[in-house]
Amino acid sequence: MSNLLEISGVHKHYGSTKALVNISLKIEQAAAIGLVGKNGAGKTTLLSILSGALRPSSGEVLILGETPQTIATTGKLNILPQDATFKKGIPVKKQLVLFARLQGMSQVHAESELDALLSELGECDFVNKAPEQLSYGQRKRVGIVQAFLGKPQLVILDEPTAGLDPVVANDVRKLIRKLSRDSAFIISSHNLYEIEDICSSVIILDKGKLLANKAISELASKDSSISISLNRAPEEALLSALKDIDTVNEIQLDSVNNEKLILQLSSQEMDELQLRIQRTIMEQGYTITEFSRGKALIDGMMDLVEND
Amino acid sequence: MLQSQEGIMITSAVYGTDGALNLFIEHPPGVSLFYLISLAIIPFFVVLASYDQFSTDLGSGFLRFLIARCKRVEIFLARFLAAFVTVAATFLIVAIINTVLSIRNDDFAPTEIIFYSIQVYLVILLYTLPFVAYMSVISSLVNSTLASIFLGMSGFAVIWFLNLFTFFTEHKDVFSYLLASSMKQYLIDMHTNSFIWAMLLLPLYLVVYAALGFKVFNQRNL
Repeated sequence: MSNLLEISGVHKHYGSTKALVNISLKIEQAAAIGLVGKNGAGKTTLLSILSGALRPSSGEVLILGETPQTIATTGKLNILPQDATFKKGIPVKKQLVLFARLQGMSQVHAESELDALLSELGECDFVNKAPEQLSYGQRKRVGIVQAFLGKPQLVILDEPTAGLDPVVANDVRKLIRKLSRDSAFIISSHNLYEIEDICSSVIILDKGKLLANKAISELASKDSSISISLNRAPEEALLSALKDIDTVNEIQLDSVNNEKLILQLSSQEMDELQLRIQRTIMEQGYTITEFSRGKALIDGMMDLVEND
Repeated sequence: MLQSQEGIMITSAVYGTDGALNLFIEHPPGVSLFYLISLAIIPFFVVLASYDQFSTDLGSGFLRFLIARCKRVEIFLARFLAAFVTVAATFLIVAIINTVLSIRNDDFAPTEIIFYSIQVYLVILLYTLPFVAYMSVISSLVNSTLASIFLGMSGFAVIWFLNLFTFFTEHKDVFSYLLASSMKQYLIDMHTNSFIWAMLLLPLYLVVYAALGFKVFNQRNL
């Protein structure tokens, strides 16, 4: 069986600017994959190459064993581009039916498939309007529906929640979870909590280079550490008080946010230990502003970026 | 009026005696007039009718929705054909109206008028194709419709400007042959060998420009 995705030695440059440098990676099984990196890291360029919208300057991309161009008509791969807009003046539903027809569905099948997907949106009368009459959030949701039309094997979502308020972004995430039951997807986002929440593995890009392609669990350990943000930078007294707790193996200070600590633990009794740590911190006169069990993806990613 | 002695004298100055006789005496003058006007306006009309084969959708990113569902060659051919059908349908409507008027006004048998009209319409269709292909190149290059129109029109201006350099040489107007509009002069009289050559060269222009248009569209970032 073909790999879901295979990228070999892909370079992409715009004039003298190198957008991607020698990207090679292989993803064997269908999965929920996050693509993260700072602005200009090459996320959109990589996703555009995967969708066939951009040509790599060199290297090869295979999706389900085929190039993005040959896979096109089979409806195995769909994309939600970051800034693309639907045709103005034409009702969105009509355009969605056209997309489904282009994937080889009959008119009847296209309409029933679309109705099934739209039912996941709840209130969806807006699809009968032209795209310019829709709100930004509605356009994003419709874009996601088009990406999952026809149950493609792989869906590429380029920053689907960018620019959305938290409530709508949450709705969009729920929609992605619902619709992705039958499809693997690659999602790019600046929101690492979002990636951690809905993805099982993550690809990290930095300055066009591949930094990591790992399972989220490898980068964001769930049980062996605790991340704590305080109201001020911790002083030596607090650090030594925490070190005195038997099962605290190591205390790391966040290099970017000096009010944040990551505690590496060895205890299995996490609930009890958690309470003990919280008590110790409060006894030292600090206020905990954020407390999460496990090392967050952002911490794992920061470690990688700093070590690079 | 075109069939009168004065009319023939005036048109002979432009199209030659044989050309004028052929157009206005041997054939229905109403249809010939439509033919001449069509040949004159086609380059500019086609630029205005087919400037947006890709530009708007390149600018808006709409083609990214299509690229996951269609091959680039399919998108290119579909847009090319859509532009051509738009132009062809416009000329068909005008040709039908013109044929009806010619049947009413010209002193020729209706079957002769209809046959000549069909002949004229087919030549017009063939003549429009290279310009649609020319605009496929321009429209693939730019992401804005205004830029597409401007660049399309500029092509003619550039040819005109280049011809200035050859005006007093034996290669006068040689740059005109870069565009299919150079074939217009040979299409006027349908009874000449030049006409046959022009009819053979028009598909060549079509192939060259369409291949160039597809190359640009196929290579570019969407």
